[in-house]
Formats: sequence, structure tokens, C-alpha cells
Amino acid sequence: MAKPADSASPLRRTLSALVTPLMVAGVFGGLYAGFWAAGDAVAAKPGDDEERAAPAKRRRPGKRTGDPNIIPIDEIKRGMKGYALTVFHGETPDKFEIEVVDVVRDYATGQDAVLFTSPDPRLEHSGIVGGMSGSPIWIEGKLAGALAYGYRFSKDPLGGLTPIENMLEVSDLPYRPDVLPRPPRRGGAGGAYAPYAQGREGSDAWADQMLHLGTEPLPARQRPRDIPGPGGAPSGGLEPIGAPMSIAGLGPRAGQFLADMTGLLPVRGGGSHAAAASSGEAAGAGNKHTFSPGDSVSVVLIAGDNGAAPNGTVTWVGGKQSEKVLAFGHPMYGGGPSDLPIANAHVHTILNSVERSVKLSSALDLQGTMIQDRQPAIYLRTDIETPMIPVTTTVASPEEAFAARRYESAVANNQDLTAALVATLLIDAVEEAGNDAVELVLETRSLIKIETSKGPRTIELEEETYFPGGIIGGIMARSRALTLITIALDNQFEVAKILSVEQHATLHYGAPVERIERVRVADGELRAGELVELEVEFRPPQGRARTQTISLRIPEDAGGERVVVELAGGEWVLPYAPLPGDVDDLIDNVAATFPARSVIGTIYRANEGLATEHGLMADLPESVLQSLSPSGSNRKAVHFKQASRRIIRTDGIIQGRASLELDILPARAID
Amino acid sequence: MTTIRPLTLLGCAALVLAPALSFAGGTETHSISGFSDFDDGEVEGAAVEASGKVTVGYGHQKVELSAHSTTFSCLVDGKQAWVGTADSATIQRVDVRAKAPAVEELVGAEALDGVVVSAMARLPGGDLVAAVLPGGKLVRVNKKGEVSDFAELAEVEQIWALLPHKGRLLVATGPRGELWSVGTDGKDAKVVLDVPEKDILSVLAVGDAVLVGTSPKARLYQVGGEAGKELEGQLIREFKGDEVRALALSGSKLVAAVNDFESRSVSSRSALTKQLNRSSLTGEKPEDNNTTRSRPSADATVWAVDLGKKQDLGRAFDAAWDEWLKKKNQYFIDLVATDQPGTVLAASSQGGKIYRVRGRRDAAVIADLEERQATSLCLLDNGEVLATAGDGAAVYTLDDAPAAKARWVSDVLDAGQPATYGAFALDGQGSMELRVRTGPTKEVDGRWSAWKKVSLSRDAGSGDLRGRADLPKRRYMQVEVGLGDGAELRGLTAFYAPENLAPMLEEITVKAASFERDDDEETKAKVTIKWESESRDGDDLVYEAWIRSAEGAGEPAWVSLTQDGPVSKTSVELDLDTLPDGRYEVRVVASDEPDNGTGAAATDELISDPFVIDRTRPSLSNLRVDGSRLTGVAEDRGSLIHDVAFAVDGGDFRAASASDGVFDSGKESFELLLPTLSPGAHRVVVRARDARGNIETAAIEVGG
Repeated sequence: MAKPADSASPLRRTLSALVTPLMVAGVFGGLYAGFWAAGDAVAAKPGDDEERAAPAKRRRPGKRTGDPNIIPIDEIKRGMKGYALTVFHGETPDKFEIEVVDVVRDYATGQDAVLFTSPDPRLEHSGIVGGMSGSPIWIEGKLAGALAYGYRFSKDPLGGLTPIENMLEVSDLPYRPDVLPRPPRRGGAGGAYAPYAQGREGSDAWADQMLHLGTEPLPARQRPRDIPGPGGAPSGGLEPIGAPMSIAGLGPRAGQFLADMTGLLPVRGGGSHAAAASSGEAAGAGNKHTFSPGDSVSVVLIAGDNGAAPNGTVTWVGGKQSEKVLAFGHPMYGGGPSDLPIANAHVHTILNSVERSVKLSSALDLQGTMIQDRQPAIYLRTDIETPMIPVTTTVASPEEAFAARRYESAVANNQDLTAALVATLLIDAVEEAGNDAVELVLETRSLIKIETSKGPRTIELEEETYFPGGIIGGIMARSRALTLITIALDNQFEVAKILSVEQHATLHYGAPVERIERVRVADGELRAGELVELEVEFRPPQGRARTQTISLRIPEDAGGERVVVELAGGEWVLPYAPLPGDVDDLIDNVAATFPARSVIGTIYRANEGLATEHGLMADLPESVLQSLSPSGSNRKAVHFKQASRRIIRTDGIIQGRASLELDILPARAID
Repeated sequence: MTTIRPLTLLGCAALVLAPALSFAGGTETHSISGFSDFDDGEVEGAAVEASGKVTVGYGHQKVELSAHSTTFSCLVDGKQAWVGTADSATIQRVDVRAKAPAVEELVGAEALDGVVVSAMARLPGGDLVAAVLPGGKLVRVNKKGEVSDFAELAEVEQIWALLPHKGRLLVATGPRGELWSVGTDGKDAKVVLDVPEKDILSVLAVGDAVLVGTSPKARLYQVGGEAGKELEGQLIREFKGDEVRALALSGSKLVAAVNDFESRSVSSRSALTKQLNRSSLTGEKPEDNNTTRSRPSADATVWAVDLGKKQDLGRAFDAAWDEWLKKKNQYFIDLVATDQPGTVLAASSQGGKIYRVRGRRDAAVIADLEERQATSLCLLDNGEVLATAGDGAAVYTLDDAPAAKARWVSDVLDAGQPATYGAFALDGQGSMELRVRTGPTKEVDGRWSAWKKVSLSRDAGSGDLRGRADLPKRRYMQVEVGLGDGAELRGLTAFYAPENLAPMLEEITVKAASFERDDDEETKAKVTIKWESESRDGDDLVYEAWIRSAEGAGEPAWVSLTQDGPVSKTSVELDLDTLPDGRYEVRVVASDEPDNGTGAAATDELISDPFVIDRTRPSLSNLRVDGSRLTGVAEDRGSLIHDVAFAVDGGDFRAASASDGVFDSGKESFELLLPTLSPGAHRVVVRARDARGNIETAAIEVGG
């Protein structure tokens, strides 16, 4: 074996030892396992081979097939020539030549890489192209691996190859729906639901989002948007070229939102005369595609009128029915077991860029499922179907002359992604129909069909949000409907199945919004059983405040008590709700709201009740309350203050809250 | 429990109740007597009587329900019994035929789907009716434990009591304060009483009439009978408090358990609302849901009235009610009439205690459940009582016969310091055994000594049982008294001598009389010498003080300032006229002799910082008048010139000025400008004052 040109110094060896744990962490972290962390410091040195070979007990990862059509990594030498297959346009792969520059040992944990360059004139201009990930490379007529790595801002078409032996190991992994978050399934006698599907501990970040409770907002586990991308890495190193997410029918704000939420590089694609965007339906017999090495392949996140599909290239096809497909040569998220849908893809062209050229592609028909997402490859199966969730989005513009829009799309069913994908569709529809940078009110009506172990149900939510200077996508994405989708998929009880989503948005110009500025008691004397007249000052975003008198009835038995009278906008108060005992309870609690166009008048009293999983026990006699709240255990039940509420409907959206502590005199003895 | 310093202690109630007495020699006592003292301890098979004695009580058997946190309600019918649980609502069948009760689950949590079984009753066919909260559900439970709906009561959210009465079932409810009557088939439900209060917590049949107790006002209403024919019923009595939690009729005595709670504050609503929102939207229990801190305290009272042999309810309205038992920092949860007329048992929220009450000043703790609360009481056919426990779920049967083993264990007693323990004396009669143990911590743990038996012998003089034990010298001590059949314990005295800690003198201050610039008088010739001290172990202290010169060579002798012996005050006054000018220091000695005797007294000594006695007046010289300008020199030997002033013809003194602008030395030239004087002679008085307030004056005639 040829010795590397620069033998490693002792310092370099030390660095290597230090860097390895970093690399482990990087790989474990997911998508962009960091070669940059190791840089080119990890170079072989004399004796390395022996050291590496010696601990045969520590067998390196990879599948040694002995297949004469595969060239093992150890046989690859500098200067060897070969070719790769990828789609430059359309759906048919083309060859391009490559020449081996060197072999990089331990590029990632247990995985070497082969550096190559290409004399092909198409790559001279574009360099290594995003979307080529997975392009199979043959050296000396034998399959060597997949194109997977490149340099950003590279002046030459210098790339890196993931050895096929590492990739083939992934093809032995099974489809693991049993470990994926899954909804309950109907089965057994009479179509009964299986026992509770096991949920997992939610991160509660969504609760914090709704309640601003100051809980730890960091998610308790890795999520796509939290996986470090190339933006956080020092430039100059070889890195996975990633799967450019081809987006179709999405505006810039929606595209950026989606990119933020998925951590993927968005590339505007779209349909063409040659390829309509994927319908989100599984391919029928007429358009069932049998993948071949070099084919373009997409993982489908959104399909239909809108599209979002990270794109790459097929490396290897196996199985009796060619149902096993390896692609990308690097992970998409690195999340292991997966069930995202995949589609064959059409490449429109290559967009050349100084930083990173990318393929402009469109996903075609659903052809199967990505069942594994691993360090050396993604593993696809065309014999496993994964349905998508149909999402209908309508939007009525604030300009009446604009016709209402209706979009039929489908999104991938994924615990971490689905809510963000649904949000993307709403943001996009609103962006198209009413992205006016003026005061706007967004009314949304959402119909979310879900299935839990108790059966199917539809949740209808109506929300109104005021935007003082145009729609902000991030705020839209915090809607209660999207929160509800998140918690239906991510909670401690069970994973609900989202059957479909309808979201209807209506935009209005203007600012029918007022803020509760001040409250004062108009009466001098407050007596039990009588009305307390509250003069409330409401202030619009601009202009003069107005005063309105709101009456609340003081409870008849509140004489002699100190009470808190609170006035708040409808969305500023949550109804008291019992502790949830299952996901349906949880959904009911999240769905229970007061109208945005209302003032909620509440009189809080000192007495307390007990919220339990079985319901609220309001205003308990003190001895019962104490007996049911034993001091010797930290019970799940929660105390709450007795409250009587009145909903006062208003013309506009009410924001803010104000409260007063008041002493109540006994009821009048003489009428 | 009272800690006193004894003279003659035993058998002397007046002394027992007396405050701490001074007693030389360092000996102190733990003296336990009276109901309150004994009630602070724990009993097993013993009874703490209100008359201030511990006697042999009832025996009991227990079975724990470890899967539950609270047992809340009970029902007995002959030899059968059932208990309802809280936290998750279940019904447990209790077999009381054997010596110890046995429990099996009749209805599980999934079937009842609630938090608590708040009340139960038995229907004629043998089925049970159970009330389940929340929601105020009434369910029927057959013998197999199968559950079906029994009745639905409109707008009823809570059910607190069920009472079979005249072939129907009475249901006490909230939050509309209604008493419902339901057929035993669950049909024909109707409201028979509607009171202004929110909750009817207790219900009791007295003949044809029915009494109910309410919350949040502690009222007693009658419905049925001659006086309560209207739907509103008749208000019989309003007690001071928040709720009539339980009612019982024992013989001719109508008894009510009334609780009076401290009001809660509304200010916690924001935190509670946030906590509820978070829990209801995540399903996670609160991180800090310990309700003990926010628990308002309560006073609980057992009231009783004698209805006479004919159980005339009119007497409940007319006659005076007697306060049979009042307890602080707890509330009563249930009452049951025993088979002895005029006697009830009351279940308390505090320490799982069950009181037997049978008249004014006739109350006794007859059971002390291991759990924190006694939650319900039911009388079994054989005269035994079934009790349920809360804050720890268990079912007890309390025997009707004296306990085979009875013992009373004191609270942990604190000597303040590690102590040497002497004699123990028991006041009482019958056979008693005494065991004691000591330890270094307030909580009994592995560092405590084992129980040590004290051999007792009857003292011929006092009749007390006395004995001694060789105990480790520790600060904390606990005693256990075992009672034989018929024995009574009336008082216990434990003698001990705590380790004597020396007092500590912290500071001596010497305070001279102060003066103001416009004071015309010389300061008094007195200095107050004060000191601060700490006894450290509560002993009374006495002091002696001495003074000596701090000037010159050698060690001048100390001169006593407390010639008449030690004083208890912490200051002395020093007459400056008795001492020449100079620097002095004071020595103070503090002693805890009053509590420890001269032989064992510990002392501390402190010497003050040196201070100056200066009664020498300043001098005035070189007084000269030049026109309206008067100059002179003021000089002081012991301190600085403080100020110079002058007065003309007996007028007010006016300030002169230092020639150099500042009075900052013992010798100061000064000058003053006389006012325009009328023609003729005038008398000018010049006054010089030093920093200690000593004054010198000189007169000079001007003009003329």
C-alpha cells in the first residue's frame, strides 16, 4: 500500500486521538457528521495498516461480500480511474469520469473515504453537485461506492466517496415500524383498537410555547431543526454534500420556514411539462418505477400542489424484485429507523453555484419508503408503502377581487416534522394570497381528523391572530391547531394518527384589536350578590382609548372575603381543565379556549378545588380538600382557586389583562 | 409538657402548672401531666383521658391497603363492612369476622372512574349504593362487584353522605346545598331540603326527622318532623366555624363535629392557575405539589346537647349546647356513637387520633393510628368500631375490650444541653413499667440508645413509683410507660442536670453624661457602666464589678463597685466625685450561680477599655477688653476646650470664636465682639467648657 505523502507527526497522532471522540459525537449527532472536525489531520501513517488490521477482534464496520464486482477500499489507489452515474437532466443517468486522488482513512467512525476528481467538463464548471449524493462510482470496472462528500466553495470538482462495503451493511437492516412512534391500530375482534400504543415523554416545549411558563424550551431529544448543519462548521473541510430539498409551489417565506424547521437546503424546483409534482399518492401500476443505480430519488416531505423533497441519487439496487435501494452515501438525518415516503425524481437542470451547485429536481410518484437513515447511506424499500396525510388549505385574501385559493397537498407522517410541514402549507397559502405588510387579522378554521385508541374524531378550532405589520410565519406556526398536531403526535400517552387536515384561512385588513389598559371599580361599595361595575379602558394600536363599563356578579356567598377580579382578553386566559388521563383528554384541554373577540371576567376566590384526571372538583369544603390532599405524598392532583367567569363578547380582538384585589362586604340585610 | 426547676414536684399540681422556678444546683425536670402533655405523646392500646391520666384503652387490629393512599369512607352492616378509597376510587370489602380484618377489592378503579368514594349505603336487597367524586355519580354495586348506574341527580356535583331513611335513601349533596330523597330502586329522586349553604356535609336521622350539617357556614338544619316541613327546613343552630362535618346521636345526646378553618388567601391564585394550566396541558404532575405549606390551620370542636329521653329536637333549638372537646390545629372528619349511651368517637385529622368523648371535660385519646388522619368511623354489631385512615390507607378495628398491651410514649423531650439523668417518678396507680432512652438528635435515629428499663419501687412517702437508669449523657430523652390492667398514669417527672455552659460577657460600655452646646449647667458627676451578657443555657446570671486606675506602673488593687454582693442588674453608676481624675478600667464577672449553686457555677470575666475621669474645670486667663473686642485664653488639663461663650449683664450666653478658628486643643485663645453697649458699666461673664462638660466662668466689667 502506498504511504501517504505526509507522515503523521506525534502531534498529529495526538490530535487524531483527541478528534476521534469528537467524530463519534458528530456522527451520533446526526446529519452532518463532521469530517471538518477531523479535517485532513486524519491521515494514515506507516504502521497504521498493521495496527488497524491487527485487532481483527475489533472488526471494522462494513459488509465484506467478496463480490468480484466490488472493489474493496484497500485496493483503491491514487491515480485509478473510473466513472460515476448520475442524472444531469430528465430521468436517465449519464456517466462522468473520475480519477482517484487519495484514500482518507477514518473519515468517519469506522468509515474511510476516497477522494476523487473528475475531468468531466460538466463538473469542471459545477464542481460536485448537491443531489449527486449517492451517485454510484465504479473504479477499474468495479463498484467502489457512492459520491457523498464535497467542499463548499471548491474550485475543482473534488469529491469524496463512501465505500460500498459500508453502505451494503445498511441494506441488511430491517424495517422497524415497531420502534417508530406509531398510532394505535385497529385489529382484533369487532375491529377493536389495540391497547394503548405507547407514547413517549413529550418535550413540553409546545406547552411552554402556549403558556410561557419558563420551562426548559430545549427539546429533550434531537429534532431535525436542531441537528447541526454546515452553517455551524468551519469552512474548508470535506463535508456531506447533503440532499438539496427541492421545493415546489412554496413562496420564499414558506421555503425559508421549511428550511429552518427541517435543517435542509431548499432549492426551488417545481413541475414542468415533463414532470408534474408528486400527487402524494402511491404510484399505480402504470408509473411504478424500478430503480437503477444512478437514478434520481427523492424523500417526499410534501407532495401535491406544493412539494418538498430532499433529492439524491441511487447507488445500489438489490433484492429479487429490485426492491432494496441504497442511496445518498450519507445520512439524511441519521435518525436510524424511518418511514418517510420516497419517490422517483425528475432532474430539470443543475444550478451552478460557487458555494455548492445543486440539482433542480421534482419528485414524481411515491415508490416506497425510506426505512433506514444511517451514516453511510439511506436505505429505501419499494415494497413498503407509507401513506401521507392529506392537507387541504384554503385562503381568502383581504382583497375581495382576489379569488379564494384552494390547495390540495399531502405531508409526510412524522412525529417531528408533520406539524412543521402543515404549518409550511398555511404559511405558503397566506403568503401567496395576502402577504401584505400592513395591519392584518388572520382568521383560521382548522379541521383535524385524528385517530386515537378511542377511535377517530375531528377537532375543529377557530383562531384569530392580529399582525400589526404583515403576517409572520413563525407566529402562525404557533397556532393552537399546529400545537395540537404536535402534541397529538408527541405526548406521554400515545401517538395519535393524523388522518387529514383542513385549514381555512381568511385575511382581513384593519386592526380590530384593543388592549386592556386600565380597570377601575366604579362603585364605592362592593357587596356579595351584587354587580360590580368595572370601568375598563381599552386602547387600540393607534388612536384614543375608549372606556366601557363591564359588570360582573359578585357571588352571593363572597361576603367578608377578599377576591381578585380579573379582566383579560379571550386568548389570555385558559379555561380550567382537569388533568389529562389520555391523549384525548390532552387534546380536549388544548382545544378548549375562549374566543379571541371577548373579555373574560373572572372573580377568583380564596377557596380551592382539586383538579384530577377524573375531572375538576371545584370549591371543596376545606376538610375534604385537605383530606384529599394528604401531606404525606406528592399527589398528582392540583389545587386551583375557585373562580366564576363571565364571557363578554367584543367586536374586536382583546389583548392584555388587568386585575384588582377587592374586599367584599356581606350582602345587604335590607333590600 | 412543662420543664420546671423543682422544689417539691410530685403530686403537686399547682407546681406542675407553674412557670419555671429558680432552683440552685443545676437540677431541672421534665414534668408531664395533664391531658395536653399526654396528648403530645403517642399511645398504643392506651387512652389519654381529658382528666389528665393515661389508662388502658381499646385494643385494635389493622390491615394496610398499600395500593392506595387514603381510605375515605366506611359502611358496616352486621358483620360485613366496606371502605371506599380516595386518590383513585375503589370499594374494598372488609371481612371483620376474624380477629384481624381482611380486605379484598370489590370494585376497582377502572369500574368507578373517580377520585374518591365519598359515601356508601346498603340497599334492601344487599346491593351497595356508592357516591363517586368528581361528578356526584351514584352507582349501584352488586355482591359480585358489578357496577351500574343508580340515580342521576340534576346539577349535583358532590355527594357527601347517604342515609337510608324510611324506605328511601337520603343523599346529602353540593354545591347547591340540597338533600335529595331517592327510592331504593334509584327512581323518583326529589329534593327534600334546599339550604342556602353550598354543601350538606352530614346527615342524621332522629326519629322521623332528619338533621343536616352544612358548609361553608356551620349550620344545623332540621327537615321532617313537626318543625321542618318546608323545603327550606328549619335552622336549628349556627355554630362558630365553617362546617358541621359530622353528626351523631348517642343515647339522648345529639353531637356535632364543627370545624373552623383559618381563611385561605386569594393571592396564590396566579401561581396555582399557572400550575393547573401546565399540568392540564402536559399531563405532568407539578414539580412541587406539596400542599402542607398552604394548608390553613383549623380549630375543631365537638358540641353536644341533651335531647332528653324522648329525643326532643326542640331542645336542640332551645337548650344550650355544651362544648365537649375543643382541639387546635386539626379538624374532625367523622363521629360515631358507640354502644355506650352518651359516648361518641371523633376521628381527627391530626396524627390519626381518635378521641372518645362522653361529656364536658371527659375526652380521651383511645387510638392513635399510625397514619396521619383518621377519616371515617363505623360501629360494628359487636360493639367494635371500624376506622379508616387517610394519608396512608389502612383499616382498623377498635376492640370494645381493654387492650392486652397498653403503652404511652412521650414526645422527644429536650434538656437544652447534654444532660445527666437522675430519678424518674411516676404518679399513678396500678402496675406500670417504665423504659427510657436518650439520644443526640430530636429525631430518634440509630445514634439513640436502646430502650432501657427502669426498675421502679413505690415511694412510701409520696406513693409514687420511683427509679433510676444509667443513661448516656444526651440532650434528648424519651420515656415509655407500659400500663397493666387497671393502671393509671397521672404524671411523670424526670430529673436531669444539663451540662452547665459558662455565661459570656460580650461588651462593657462606659457612658458619661452628655451635654449640648446651649446647656448652661455643668454635667452630672456620674458615669453609667453597662455590660451585655448571654447565659447560653438559659441560666439566670448575677454580676460583680470592680474599678481600678489604669495609670502608672504596677497593678493597682480593684475596688468593688458592688460591695453588697452580686447584683442581677447589668449596670452600675459611678460617682465621679469619689475618684480623682485619671484613667480607669472596670472589670465585670458574670456568674450562673443562681441556677447552679456556688459550687458548680460557671463564670466569665471581662475588663473594659480604659476610660477617663476628668472633673477638673478649665481655666480662663488674660481677659482683655479693647473697645468692643474681648480676648482671652481658655485652658484645660484633662481634655480639650469644647466651647467659649459670654453673656452681658445676665443675658443669654453667646458663642465666642477661637482665635485660630477651631476649638481643637487644650489651650485656646479666643475673642469675641461685644454688642453695642449703652453708656455705662456692664458686666460681661465669659464661660469656658471642656470636652467633658466641666465649666469655668470669669466676670469682667466693661464700659463705665
